[in-house]
Amino acid sequence: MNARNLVTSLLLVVVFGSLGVFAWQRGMKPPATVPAEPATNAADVLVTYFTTNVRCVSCRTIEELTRRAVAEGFPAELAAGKVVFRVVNTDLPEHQHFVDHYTITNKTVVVSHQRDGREVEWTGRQDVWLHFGEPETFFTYVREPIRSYLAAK
Amino acid sequence: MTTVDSLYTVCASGFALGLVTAVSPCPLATNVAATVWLARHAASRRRAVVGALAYTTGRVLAYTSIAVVLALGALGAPALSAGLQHWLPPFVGPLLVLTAMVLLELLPLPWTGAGRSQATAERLVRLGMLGEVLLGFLFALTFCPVSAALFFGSLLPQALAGPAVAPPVVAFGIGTSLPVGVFALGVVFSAGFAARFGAGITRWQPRIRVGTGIALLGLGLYLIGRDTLRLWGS
Repeated sequence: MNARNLVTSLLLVVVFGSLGVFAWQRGMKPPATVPAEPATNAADVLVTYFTTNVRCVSCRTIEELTRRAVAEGFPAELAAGKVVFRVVNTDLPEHQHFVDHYTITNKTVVVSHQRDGREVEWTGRQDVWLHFGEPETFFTYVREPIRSYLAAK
Repeated sequence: MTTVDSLYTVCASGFALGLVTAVSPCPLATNVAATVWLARHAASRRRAVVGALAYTTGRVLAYTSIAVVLALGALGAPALSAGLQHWLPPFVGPLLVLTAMVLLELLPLPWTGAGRSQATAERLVRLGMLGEVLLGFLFALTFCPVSAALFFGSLLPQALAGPAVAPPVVAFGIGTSLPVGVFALGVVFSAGFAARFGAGITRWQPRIRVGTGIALLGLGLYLIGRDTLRLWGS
């Protein structure tokens, strides 16, 4: 076998082998471990970052900035459980109902106003994707509905 | 605000969102692949311009098709977005590697070979243009988290609530292909300029084909690692 045939065979193995691995991974069940969710019953405002199994660099940045927007903007409310931040993976079957309820088409942030453990209204923060390069603008954008819901309580 | 003003605003927004999508990190690999693919027409500026327009047409067709599917209510935006993000990206890397193997003459095409007639050659040129339309169509449908967020999350709600759905979606498609077209044509025109001082670009054509093949091979292997095998995040 000459070098040309060897390279061709190697590349074909990579192409079809990778597709085989992809098909095999798709056939496997998702991991059974689900991160523990924070208690949300006492919360007035629930800030949720919706993610999927596929994590990108920008997605991680948005998750981290949202966490900081809540933690640094509302430390007392967070400690008292009035504001709760959580991450929800919509690829898990038990979280599929969120996709329909909030019409989720991609990773996004939703701020939900709660009363007695029930949602009374919510605001999507879709433009986190336009602001994640400017943290201060991002913080203001995410904190605005939180502030508004806390004031309305 | 009048309907015309409103339409102008939503189109400008669509175009800007398209540009933001094109320059964001996650579609970078497919954009570089498209640029390399279009820039291979260095011997003919006219062919390069037509190729860039064909690529743009493919992208516009893809986004318009999605908007039509959603407007008709055939599928919901969440299901369509999730389906495209889950099922298309893993196949782009293998496809690029196979294309690179054809360019590098590691794999033969069934219709090529000695004794090819002029008519067949012309058909292949037309197929080449169709190939650029299909490339634009495929790359547009290959949504990554950023492009899905900006198209499904930011553009479509604006477009569906605006005075007309198609114009902002078309503007988005043009915006996403503009940087690729500009870079590819920049390379082609620069190569043409440089060739004036050399022996002519035609002599370089085989090297350009090999260079395109090697670049697509590298990008294809990168995409296999990222989107097919998920060895690292995008």
